[in-house]
Amino acid sequence: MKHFRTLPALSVVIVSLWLFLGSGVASAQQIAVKTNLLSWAAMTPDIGLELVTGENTSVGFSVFGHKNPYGLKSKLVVVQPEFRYWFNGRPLIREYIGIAAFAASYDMTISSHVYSGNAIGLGFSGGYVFSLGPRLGLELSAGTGIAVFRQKQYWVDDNYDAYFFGKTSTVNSKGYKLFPVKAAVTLIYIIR
Amino acid sequence: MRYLKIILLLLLLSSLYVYGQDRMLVFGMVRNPVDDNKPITDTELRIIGYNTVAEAQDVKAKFEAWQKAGAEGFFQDFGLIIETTPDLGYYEIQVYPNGALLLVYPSAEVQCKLVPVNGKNEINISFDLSRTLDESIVSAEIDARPVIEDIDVGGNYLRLSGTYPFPEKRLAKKNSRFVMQYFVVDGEKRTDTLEFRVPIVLDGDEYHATQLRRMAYKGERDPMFGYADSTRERLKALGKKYILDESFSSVTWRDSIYLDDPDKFVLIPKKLWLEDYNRVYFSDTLYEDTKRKINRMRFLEYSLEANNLDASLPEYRRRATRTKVDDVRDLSLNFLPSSAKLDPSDTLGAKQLAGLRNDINNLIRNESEGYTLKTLFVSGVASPEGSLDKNNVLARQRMSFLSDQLLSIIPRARQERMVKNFSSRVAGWEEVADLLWADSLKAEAGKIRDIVARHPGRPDAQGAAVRALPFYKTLIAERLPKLRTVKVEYTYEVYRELTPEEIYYRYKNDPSYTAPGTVLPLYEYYALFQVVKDTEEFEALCRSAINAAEKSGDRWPLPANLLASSLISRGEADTTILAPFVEEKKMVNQPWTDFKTGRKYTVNPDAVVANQVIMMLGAKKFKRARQLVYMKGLPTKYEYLKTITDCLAGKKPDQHTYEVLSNTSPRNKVVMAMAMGYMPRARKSLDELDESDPITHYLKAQYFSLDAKMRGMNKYVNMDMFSPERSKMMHELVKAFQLDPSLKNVAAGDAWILEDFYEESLKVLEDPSLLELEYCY
Repeated sequence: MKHFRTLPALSVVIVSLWLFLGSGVASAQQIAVKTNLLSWAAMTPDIGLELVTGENTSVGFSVFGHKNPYGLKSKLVVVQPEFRYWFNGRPLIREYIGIAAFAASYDMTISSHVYSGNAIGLGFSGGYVFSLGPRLGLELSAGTGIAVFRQKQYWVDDNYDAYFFGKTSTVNSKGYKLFPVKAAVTLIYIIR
Repeated sequence: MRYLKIILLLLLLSSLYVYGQDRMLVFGMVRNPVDDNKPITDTELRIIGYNTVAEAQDVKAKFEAWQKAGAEGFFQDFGLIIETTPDLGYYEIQVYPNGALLLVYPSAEVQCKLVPVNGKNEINISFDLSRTLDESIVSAEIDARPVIEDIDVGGNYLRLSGTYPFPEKRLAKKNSRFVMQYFVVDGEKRTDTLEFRVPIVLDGDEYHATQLRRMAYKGERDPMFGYADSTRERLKALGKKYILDESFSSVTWRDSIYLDDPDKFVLIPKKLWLEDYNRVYFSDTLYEDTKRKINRMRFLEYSLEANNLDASLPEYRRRATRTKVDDVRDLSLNFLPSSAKLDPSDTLGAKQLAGLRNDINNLIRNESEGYTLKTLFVSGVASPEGSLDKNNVLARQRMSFLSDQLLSIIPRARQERMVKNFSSRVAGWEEVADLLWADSLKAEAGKIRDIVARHPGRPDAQGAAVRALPFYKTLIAERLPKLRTVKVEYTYEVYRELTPEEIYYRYKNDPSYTAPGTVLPLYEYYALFQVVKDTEEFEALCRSAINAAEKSGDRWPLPANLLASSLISRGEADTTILAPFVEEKKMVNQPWTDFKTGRKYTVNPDAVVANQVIMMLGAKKFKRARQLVYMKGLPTKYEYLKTITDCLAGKKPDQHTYEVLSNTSPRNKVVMAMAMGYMPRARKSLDELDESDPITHYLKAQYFSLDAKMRGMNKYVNMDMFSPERSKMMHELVKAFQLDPSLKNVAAGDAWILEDFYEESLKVLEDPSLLELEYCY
């Protein structure tokens, strides 16, 4: 899957952006690891990190992906940075809003159609964190935004590459859609 | 190799054994983590060293059991121990390497902490002193408005309590923190803050969790965290709700504030606030003052008599010691010219010589009385006119005459046992010049000095030249007799114990005895104590004896105790007098040996300790008095003193105390009954009091007022106008004021007297007709 080669470059850009957003932190702040339980329910392992950057702000970074979950023909890798603003005065507790982005690379077959390509998205997110203790929290979050994609789209039985007569196949579908950028029930553990 | 290993192992074990056998110096700082880690400077903190950890654990368990059993007073069973107290937070103690330290306050209020030594030399200790939080409770009681209970005086402590209801429901939240900070302010100056009390801090669960996160899970980074944790632990231990949330609607507080002078007027402002993560969203301030207080023991009658030491005991008796006396006489003797015979016309010289012979004779005659002549030095000087050789011969002859005069009255046996020396010399002409110079005849003095310089070492030539001076007859000749001197120095020793009467005679007739700064031998003070009767004189004598003993380095409690007894008899108090003789870390009547001098004496004689307790009570240092009266080893004959001290220091009287004290006087029956809340007994006992005593009427008024309060009446005006109790209480209070106007001030500050009742009584006092018109009695 050639398009997966673009993913490392995208990840570097996104991680750099994440580090830049978090660079305002001069001294040690809270760092939490998190995982989306809904993703796991979809057999899509998810792991994330969140760094508190101020009295009301934090930045997070998640990665999730799967290969052929529940017997479906699907491959997916997503990286998702997010910047959050916490209303009540302390991060990682109660309500927040945020700006979330994602970069995905996918190759999946849905209802006899194959969709294979990359997408990036940006949107708003929001959620609420319930405190389960000094180190634990449960987050309910959702978000929506615009996703821009470039993909190859064809029927399952099509021999798509044959249409390019030996040359490298190219995408045949581009566009943007209103898309959920986030939907999660996340367990948070504050490591420090 | 195998044997080498065995040897090495044995060496190691033996070194451990040796290491374990010697005490070592352990030192460090003691800090309070709840107070910003400041060094603990409170000298009540005791650090006790035990030989083993097990021993320390046993004592700790006993101490904690004593606390749980509702202990009163001071725990005394720490055992035979080595202990110290921190100095500005720093401590040093000698303890075994496998021993342990126990940190403790010896009162019922406070926790203790065990620290194993584990061979360490330096051990820095954190010790939580937030003991007052034991009495602070946060609860969910509902009430309409702040209720501040009357301040209860117990010894040096003011006991506060009250309830503050939040003005709105659900004001507290689980993501909020409640803080109540109160402090003690001087009531007169108003700007002097005397003390900040430990704040009450309570966190909501969520606030607590997120606060920990913010502090990177090191709660001590938050200055309030220690207080919040302590409050939680205390409430948990009391079985109370310990987490702030919406169901909290009020706060109840209880505290004891220590004041050196419990009568001092102070203000106690309380600031409280609720804050969430972003802001303080609620705050309020309450004020409390100590104008009106409950003092249950205000009218307690008691008589504490002074306690005396047995002065006949050897350790308090002082005996005479050998004293050396120096005497110096300057005689002016005129001899006939060129002769060793005295000039018969010199009556003064003859008198001086006769006087000297008489004194020496007296010494010789009084040898049996302890006088011993030890040295006799006589030196004579002749004037320089005439030939030097002749002058030397003449000087020797005259000295020989004098030695005969003096030695003839001294027995040979004494002469052989004393040091004597007779010397003579001829004055030089430069001494004549000095005389002229001293009389401001500087030119003439200069001329004589020139002559001496021109004829060095030749007195005859000098004499001839001086005699040729024109002013010789007028200025020099008349000054030559001043150079003719005889000096007699003798020393003698006295070793005889004078009788008290002799000493008293000298004391009365010799001004040097009573001159300021005079220090007498201690045995003379001891004798004078028995004969001086005037109180003022006696006390001055005692003070002088205390100074004398101090100067001579003699640890002598007798004069201090006599002075204390005298002050106690007059109703005065001075706690500094006996302080040097009371060592709290030792037992009462503990035998002790001074390792420097080998002298044996008793530390903390019970009479001294008891007198110091009485002084402390007189000086209103009730807490200190109570600490002393509970010193280990105080005999049971001081039980009454202990009971009175407990009552005055604010300890709640138990049944035994009530029965003991109520039988001591009719007034005490009433006072103790009211203190215990036995109102019917108090009512009955009021009838037995003396009607002519103003305090009787005051107590009656107080009883009715307290009775009304107990039945829920907070205002006098709310009482039934026609009730006999209302009439009686007014009548009694006014009568008390009429008999003793000073009781007005007492009533003004008495919280058992309803405030408006007091104000009404002042009106009636001014216009007694109000009493007859409105108050039927």
